[in-house]
Amino acid sequence: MRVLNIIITLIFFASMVVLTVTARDIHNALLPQVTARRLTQEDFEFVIDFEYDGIPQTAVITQKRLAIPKELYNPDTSDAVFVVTTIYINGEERVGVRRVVPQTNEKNEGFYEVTGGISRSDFVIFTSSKVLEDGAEVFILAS
Amino acid sequence: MVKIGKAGKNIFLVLLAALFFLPVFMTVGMSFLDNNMPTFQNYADLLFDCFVFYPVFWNSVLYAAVITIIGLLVIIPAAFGFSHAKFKGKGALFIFYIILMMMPLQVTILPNYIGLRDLGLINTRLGIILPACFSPFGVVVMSRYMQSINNSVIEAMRMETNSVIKIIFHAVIPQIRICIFAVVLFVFADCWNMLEQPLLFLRDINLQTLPVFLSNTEKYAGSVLFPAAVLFMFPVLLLYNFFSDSLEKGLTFGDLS
Repeated sequence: MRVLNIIITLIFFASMVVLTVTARDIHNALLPQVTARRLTQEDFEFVIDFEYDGIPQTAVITQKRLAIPKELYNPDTSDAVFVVTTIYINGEERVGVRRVVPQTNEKNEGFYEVTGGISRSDFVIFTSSKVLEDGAEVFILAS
Repeated sequence: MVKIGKAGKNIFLVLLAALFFLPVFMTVGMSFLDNNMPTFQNYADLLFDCFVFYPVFWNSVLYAAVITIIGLLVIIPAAFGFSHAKFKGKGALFIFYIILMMMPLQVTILPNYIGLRDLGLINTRLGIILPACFSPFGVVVMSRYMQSINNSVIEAMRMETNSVIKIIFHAVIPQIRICIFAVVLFVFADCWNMLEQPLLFLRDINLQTLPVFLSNTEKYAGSVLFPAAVLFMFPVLLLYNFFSDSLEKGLTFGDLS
């Protein structure tokens, strides 16, 4: 009986030591592995109609605007993107994702102009190893 | 008058024991249930998704172990002094110890807080360990037990040495081993269940203990609390298993020895 007690005690505390060291790594390995980046500013052409000396004129100007790549979001086919956010789980701050529907306007060759929903400081999820849900915890591989 | 047979008494005692064990059974049962379906998910949630649990678990182990060890180093000589030394005011001091033992924690916790604050020990591990090392309970129990031990061994030892430490180690401790086990169990369990002191003396979550973790129900997912409560019971039960034989004998104050 005494030997059994010693064995159970050793197993219990050894398990706790092992879990203390490895639990977070195991947890992170099971999370969706994502890559996140800030959106870049790209050149968009804007057509401006105006009058000069009473004569209607048209000018095309190029401006840098916040842009989302077409392969990441297409207003016709995609419904939303995910941005990195802070979530609270079990008394801890963790990295999670928030579902966002970007508002887009103009488009150029590879990008849509973002007019709302995502700000320049937001980290947008570009790739994920698993299907994401709103409020899910993720592990960021690179940003 | 209705006579209750032996079987009736046994049934009554079993029912009473079941009543006492009901919260434990419920805690263990609930730890394996999720939406009334049996699962290990709650344990997975605790062990792989609640990392605050590990520091608080090890803090509890550290506090309980250190307090028990240092406490024994204080308790044994103090109890030996009360039981075998002759000095003025011994009786009054012993009564003072008993009064201190009887005092509710809520009475002593505020003076403890003020003392620790003045020493700059609030929000430190030492703030928890230091006041708990001087448990009057262990001293009272052990000194009563020591009064009944064989004095001839101590007298024989005194002929050989003047060192009190040597006398305690070679003549006293071998005779009070059972009582030491009982006191270890009680002091450890007392420290393991400590809630008020960490709540009041500690602010840093990384210094907190398991009972504080279990009391913060709104901060953690409901699924992790029952498994945490089961793991919380485990070390004390293991220790009880080790020393259960000594517990009864050790707390009889040596009257039956």
